[in-house]
Amino acid sequence: MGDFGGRVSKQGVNVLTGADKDMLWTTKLRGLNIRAKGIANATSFNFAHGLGYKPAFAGYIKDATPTHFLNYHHAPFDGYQFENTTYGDIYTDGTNLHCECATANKLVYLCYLNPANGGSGATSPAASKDHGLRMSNDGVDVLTGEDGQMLIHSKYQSPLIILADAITVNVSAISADPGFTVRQSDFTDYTHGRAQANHIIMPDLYSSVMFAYSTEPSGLGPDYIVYDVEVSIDATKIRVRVSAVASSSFATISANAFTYSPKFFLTNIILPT
Amino acid sequence: MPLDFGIKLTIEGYEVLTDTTPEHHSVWSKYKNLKMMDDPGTWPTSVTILSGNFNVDYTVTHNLGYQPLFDLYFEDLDGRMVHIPGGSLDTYGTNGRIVSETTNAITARLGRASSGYPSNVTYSVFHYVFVDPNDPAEY
Repeated sequence: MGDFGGRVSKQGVNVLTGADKDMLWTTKLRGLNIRAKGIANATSFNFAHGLGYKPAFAGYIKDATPTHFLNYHHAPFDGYQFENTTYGDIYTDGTNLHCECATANKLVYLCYLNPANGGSGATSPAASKDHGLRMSNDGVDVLTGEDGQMLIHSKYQSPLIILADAITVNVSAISADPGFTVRQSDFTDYTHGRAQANHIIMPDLYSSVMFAYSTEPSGLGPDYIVYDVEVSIDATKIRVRVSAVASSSFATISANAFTYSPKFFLTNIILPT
Repeated sequence: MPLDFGIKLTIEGYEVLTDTTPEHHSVWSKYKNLKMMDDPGTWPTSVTILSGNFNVDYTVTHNLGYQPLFDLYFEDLDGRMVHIPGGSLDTYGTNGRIVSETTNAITARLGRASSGYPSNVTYSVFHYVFVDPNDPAEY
C-alpha cells in the first residue's frame, strides 16, 4: 500500500526506500521545536510558556565567561578541579518553566514547544492570523492542529544536528596507598568551529558509569576510586573533563589509564548569554 | 553562482536565499532534524518505588537495533515535570538517572540516597526516543 506525506533523505540515501533514521526529516515522525530560551535572572524564576501543558526542556549552568555547563542539576561525587560548582533545578508545569538556583543569572533554559508527556498539547502560544509555513505530522490537521503537533513551523526553530563527533580524554592511571586520598583531573578540548556556544546533546555523558552523583548510594567500601565528568561549551570549544579520586584505608587501590570518548551532537540552537 | 539543491527554511529576520549560517535556519536539508519515534504502546507510563527501597529501575524498549538519542522525564508528586537526569523538589526529593543502554532499550532509575521510601511511591514517566542514532557517523 502506498504512503503519503513528505520525506527528505540525507545525501547518498534513496528517499523512496531509505530508513526513517536516514531521513533529514519525515512527516511520519514528530520533530522538536524551540518555544523559547533564556537565562533565569532571579534565584527563583518563572518563564510563562503559555502552552497549557508541561513542555519538554533542556538546561545549562552558565558562568561569566560565558561557558555553559551541561550538568546543571547534580553536584558530582568529588569534582576535583571542576570549573563549575553551582547547580540548580529546572522543571515545568502547566503554566511555567521554573528555575531554582542559589545564584541568579546562572541557569539557562531551552523551553521546547513539545509536551514532555508526549501529548498533543492544549493551546498554541498565539492564536491569530499569521503567515509562514507549517507542516503537520501524520494524523494531524495542518489547519487546526496545535503548534506543538507540527513537524515544521516557521514560527519556531528546530534543532538541526550540524556537527557530530566524539571527544577522547586520556584518563591517567591513579593509585592511593593506605591512609591516602589522591585526586587527579584530565581534560580534552574540541574546537567546534562555531562563533558561539550552541545547544549540545550528549547522551553518553549520563548513561555511563563516569557520572557519579553525590547523592546516590555509593556502596563504596573503605578503598575506592570514583570518576566524575564535567562537560562545557563556550564560544570556541567543547571541553570534557574527567576527574578521579582514589581513597585508601586498608589496601593500596589503583586503576590503569584508559580513554573515555563520549559522543556529542552539536545543534544550530544558539545558547543565551 | 554555484548551484545547490535541497530545502531551506530560515528563522525570522534572515534571508533564505543567501544565508549560509545553520544557526539562522529551522530546516535545511543539509542537516538532520531530530525525529521522535511513536510510543509503541508498551513503554512504561508509571513506576513504583516500593516501601523500604531506595529506588526502582525501569526500561524503555525501543527495539531500534542501535542506540538512539533520547530525552526522558518524570512527573514528581507535585505535578512538576523533571528531566532525567535531574532531581525533584517534592517531599521525597527523588532523583532520576540513566542506568544503562543496549541497542534495543534504555534503563533509567528513580530514587534517592538518603533513606528508603516510607511507603510505596508511584511516579509517571515520559519518554522521547528519537530514531536518530547515537552515532556521529550517521550524520
